[in-house]
Amino acid sequence: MERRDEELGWIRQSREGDLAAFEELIRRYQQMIHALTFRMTGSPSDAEDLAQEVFIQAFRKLNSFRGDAQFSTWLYRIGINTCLNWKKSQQRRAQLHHEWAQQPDAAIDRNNELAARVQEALLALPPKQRAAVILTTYEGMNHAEAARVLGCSETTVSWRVFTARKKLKRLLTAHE
Amino acid sequence: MNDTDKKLDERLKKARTPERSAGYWEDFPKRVTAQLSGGACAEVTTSAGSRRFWGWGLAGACVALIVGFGLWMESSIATAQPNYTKLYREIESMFPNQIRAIVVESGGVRLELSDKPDIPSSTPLRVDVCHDQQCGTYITFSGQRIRVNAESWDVLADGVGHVLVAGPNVVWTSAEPTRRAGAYHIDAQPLRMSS
Repeated sequence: MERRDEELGWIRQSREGDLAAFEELIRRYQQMIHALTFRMTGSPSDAEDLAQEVFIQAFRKLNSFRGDAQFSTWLYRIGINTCLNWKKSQQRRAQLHHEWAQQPDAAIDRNNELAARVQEALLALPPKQRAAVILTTYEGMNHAEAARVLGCSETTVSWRVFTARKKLKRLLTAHE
Repeated sequence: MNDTDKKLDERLKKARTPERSAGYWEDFPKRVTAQLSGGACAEVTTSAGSRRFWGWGLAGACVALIVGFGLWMESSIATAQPNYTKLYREIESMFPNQIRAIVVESGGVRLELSDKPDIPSSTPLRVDVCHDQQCGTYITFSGQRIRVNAESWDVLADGVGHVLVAGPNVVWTSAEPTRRAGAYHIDAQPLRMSS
């Protein structure tokens, strides 16, 4: 309860423009958001850019946080939407890069082979399925919680998780 | 959950995200709030590895550049136009092949540098962006990204000297310079190196 009260205090102060209070919120959730943006993109540098973008968006939208959900759930929703929009801009960017003969950004840290294989498999999923797997497998959310973050029904989440896991099994066992 | 599901979970969870230094986590909140407050010097973009080292060095360089830029602006008041070529050459001599972008805004000069000299040598490009009566000039290279109003924009050049600028809601090319780019006024061209 103390943790939640402290958080609500930071949120109130941040709404009044107190950036030091907002830094406290960032400090609390920065690793969670970096993990999300990395798993959604597979690129440490894009993950960093997106994490910054998530917190900037969160600050601008703080007035829309009503406090009836967990702040982390609300922040996850912004994170997922930012990553899904990034996917759209990445597709357009990839096309532009191809047309203009530019080199694509090097991305995955290859030092960890297993991590790289899992990340490649995650990136092979459609973004909404990937988001559902990240929230349920890595963040330990149940399907109802993930549905609230993703803004869809629990059934949709269950279906996305089922389809995604089937594909992940196939992709990961193919490397064995 | 059956054994196959458990095995898949274990395998997924073994894939950890990249580790970042304590300095990175210390600096990150400050970099976000610097962007929110429009801090001119706070956004120095490097990858995680040697961020702390570069952070101090670049903070110093950034302060020096703002002071230097202010003095230089005074001295070049007669021309009314900052000498971007000179600015670029001076910064390039300090950080060869590390410049992602030199950003000149009303608040001063901001550098975006790579932590390694891995930016290929090519003709620098000058991109001028005005929005809502705020203007900024970016000296950058083809293939780099610049940050405009908290958005990432790509800057690309083709073999005949045309420049393409593309953001999430903006696409502009010097091949059609009169084309509107939403609420932005954009101009871009290779930086003239003769002055």
